[in-house]
Amino acid sequence: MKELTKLEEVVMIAIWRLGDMAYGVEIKKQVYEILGKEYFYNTLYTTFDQLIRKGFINKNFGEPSSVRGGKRKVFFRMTEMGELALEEAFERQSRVWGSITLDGLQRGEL
Amino acid sequence: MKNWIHSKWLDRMAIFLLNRLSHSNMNEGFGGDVEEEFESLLHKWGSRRARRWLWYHTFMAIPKSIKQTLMWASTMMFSYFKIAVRNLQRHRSFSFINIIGMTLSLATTLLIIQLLNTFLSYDEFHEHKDKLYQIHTTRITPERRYETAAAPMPLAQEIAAECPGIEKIVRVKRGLHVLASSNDKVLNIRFKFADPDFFNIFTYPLQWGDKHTALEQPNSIVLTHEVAQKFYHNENPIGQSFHLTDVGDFIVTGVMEDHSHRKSSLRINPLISMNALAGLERLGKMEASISDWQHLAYQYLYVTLNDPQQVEQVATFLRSSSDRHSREGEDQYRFEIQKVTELLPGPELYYGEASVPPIVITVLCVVGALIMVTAGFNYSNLSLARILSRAREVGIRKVVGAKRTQLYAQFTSEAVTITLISLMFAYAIYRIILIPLYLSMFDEIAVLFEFKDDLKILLFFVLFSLATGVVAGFLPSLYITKFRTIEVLKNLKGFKGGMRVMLRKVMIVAQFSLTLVFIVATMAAISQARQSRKMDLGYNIDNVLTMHLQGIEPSQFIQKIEGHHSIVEVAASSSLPGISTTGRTWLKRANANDSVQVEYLYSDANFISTMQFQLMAGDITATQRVANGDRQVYVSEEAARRFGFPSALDAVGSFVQTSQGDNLLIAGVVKDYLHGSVTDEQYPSAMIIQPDRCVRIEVRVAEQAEKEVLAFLRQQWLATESAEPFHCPTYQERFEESLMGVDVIMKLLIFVASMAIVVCVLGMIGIADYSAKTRLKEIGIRKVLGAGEWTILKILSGKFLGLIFMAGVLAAPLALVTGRYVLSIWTNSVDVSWLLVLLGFGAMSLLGLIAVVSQTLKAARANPVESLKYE
Repeated sequence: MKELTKLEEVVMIAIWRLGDMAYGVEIKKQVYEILGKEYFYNTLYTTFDQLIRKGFINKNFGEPSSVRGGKRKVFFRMTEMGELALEEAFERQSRVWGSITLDGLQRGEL
Repeated sequence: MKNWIHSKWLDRMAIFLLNRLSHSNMNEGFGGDVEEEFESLLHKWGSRRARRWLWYHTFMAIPKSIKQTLMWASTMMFSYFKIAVRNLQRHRSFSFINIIGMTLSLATTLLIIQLLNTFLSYDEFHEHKDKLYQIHTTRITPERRYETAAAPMPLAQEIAAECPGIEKIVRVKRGLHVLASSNDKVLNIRFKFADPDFFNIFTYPLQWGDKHTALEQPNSIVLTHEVAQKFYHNENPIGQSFHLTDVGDFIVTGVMEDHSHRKSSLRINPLISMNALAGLERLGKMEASISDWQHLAYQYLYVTLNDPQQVEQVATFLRSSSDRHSREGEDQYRFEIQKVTELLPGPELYYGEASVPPIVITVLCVVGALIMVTAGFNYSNLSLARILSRAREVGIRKVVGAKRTQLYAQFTSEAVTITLISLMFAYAIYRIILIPLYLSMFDEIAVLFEFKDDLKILLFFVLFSLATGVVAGFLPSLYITKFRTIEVLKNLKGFKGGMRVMLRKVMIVAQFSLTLVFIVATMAAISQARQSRKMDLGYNIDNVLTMHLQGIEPSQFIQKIEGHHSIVEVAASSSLPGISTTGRTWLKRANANDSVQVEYLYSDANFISTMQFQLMAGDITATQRVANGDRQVYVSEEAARRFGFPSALDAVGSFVQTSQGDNLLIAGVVKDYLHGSVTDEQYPSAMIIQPDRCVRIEVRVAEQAEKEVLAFLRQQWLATESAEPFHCPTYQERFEESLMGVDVIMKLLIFVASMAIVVCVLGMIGIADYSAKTRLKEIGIRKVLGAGEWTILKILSGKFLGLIFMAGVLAAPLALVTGRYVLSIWTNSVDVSWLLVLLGFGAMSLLGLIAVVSQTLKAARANPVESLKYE
């Protein structure tokens, strides 16, 4: 299975959290909440493209509304493969960090 | 309100741009998201800050977009290249023919580009080239204008004192050619005089010495690298004393670096300080020129301007100065300012040092363009001819979803691949074969050209061939992408009907026509070259030695050598006919009103018989003395006719008058002969018997005795007081030498045109090959039904014959015009006759037939089983 990059991981988590509401603007906000950093839309959309190509998310169009200049929203949804990838990412993360705590790191102890 | 709409519009533009830059295939979602956030930010932050956010995002998207575009483009390029190589492998004979054709033409063009580069890079190396100017003088006499590269010396002082905007002035003068000795060596050297600022306006770095002061002292001398090498090898010669015979002692104050690789309109010799000139003129070692407004010969005036913008002011000043120094009833002088970098290529000027006629540049450009067009045309032609067999491939690509631009890219990339492969071969050929060939063909003038590759020119080669590829590939791709998919796929054989046949016929006719044009141009050039060599000069130059006496009185020297048993006859003259004229003047028949302009030379009484002129009337030796100092003259038939004598006999014994009023007695009339150079316009001519004006001798020797006489002459020469080395070429050698300029261009033309012919023939072979292949099945069936090889050959070639004939009719006028244009470079060109065109047509038909027959024979001989076994 293909691994996730850091940003992909964060985007996946954002999509997962947002559930049915996952589209560009919201995802950007979520990513900002998680990382505290504003990403450009074209960076995010490159990531979306990448995730779709890897088969972790899929997209479908919403209804057109007047707010967005008549353009439809693109909603993203996690696929089963995406869920598996996210789980694996979590497991790998836990394995990497194990029982290390911030407290321990700062004090230089295991 | 209006303002608001305006900015709304700008916002849309930003969003649109951002969208284009995103490279996402979810444009709608992307644009909508941006817009949504922008709206909310508008409410949150107000319009200014929100807009700033928007534009910030747009600009920040640019670098990433560029990166992505490049990445995709290179990926696509690579796959196009791969497809192209596969396609070329599949169609071997096509690729082969195209690559050979492209290689030949590219190699030739590389040579031409290199030549052009050399011609156009004159004087470009000077640091101050932008503000460096030369002052030219036009001398206007009642008879004609003389455009010179020279300027009177006192003009320099006047400019320095009165003209605004001048930074520095440097006078350069040549004309000192003496025996120099130093360090126990003696050499014959040409010197130039130059003002101390010479090295401040020209960029000739000094190997040794200080460029600011090197020419300051009157006794200082700056050597060139070569001369310093000859005298001192690699040692520093600063401070060495340098003795010039009859002139005086000088001190070496500098040595220039090797500048032989730099192309300069000013030939660089060892330099003597201009401050020495006044003294030398006072002593009579040099003819007076420093304060002579009429003296122009071989002295140049260079200036640098404070600001190149001021050139107009200087020009105005020079015009007023010309007016001030021109007097009624005398020769008029016009001074003009010329940018040094623009001198060459330019017309040949009187007293100029180097010339590159602009026509040479034009001819090279035209020929280079033509040969490249031929190769490109070959490619397009062959691709178009084959296009129908590739229609299916295109159809399938379209069905799978190829866009039109992608198809363009694919076909163009094939052409580019071919040119790039050809470029590699071409470069190898150019380096390994062409340059040595070129240098050996023109060894005497080869030094003029440098074949050093710099990055710039290599890059130009690559760009040039890329461009050729793109152009050559564009036409077929334009046509091929027009195919309608369904039709192509439904009817796998391609198109039926007139269109296809027409297209191919047009192509074939075009190919043959092009060949014809090149053949005629080559033949014209060859006949011109033959003519200038084989032409009847009107005198006999075999077994004649010529010698410039370097100031020794000819009659003295002739006395010493006369009587040697192998010397048949000796004569003296002021110049050699057929090589250059002594001058032009106006003569008129006594009592007549109209003068005739003639070219003349001075000779002694033996000249006519020694050179074996064909005498029409009069005495072969001008023995009879003429009263009161009048001189005798031999005129050409043409001159006699122009003077108004009804026949040659009438002319003999009559008088003609010079414009100074001197009387010349016509002693004889000779058959028209070549007086000036072959390349110059021919005038009526005259030989004035005046031995004291002669500077050289012509020695007619007995057959096979040349070596013996040369040894004798050398011995006699060394016995004179002259310091000049012995130099005595044959007339034939001198004549060949004078033809060299003509020869160079001629050879180049013939060479390039033959290349073009080869390329054209290749194209014909390609087309014949292809059309034979398309009819393989037909041939198979005919053979099965009992047709013999001969019948098939007749059927296949018959059509071509008609096309060849059509091409001949269509292209003949074009060929005639091209041939005439090519020869228009020479003043005395042969005429391109219809006979020549007819001959060219014969040659073209022959070549075409060979191409066609060789290919159809292959098809006709093929085993019909091979072509029919799948049916």
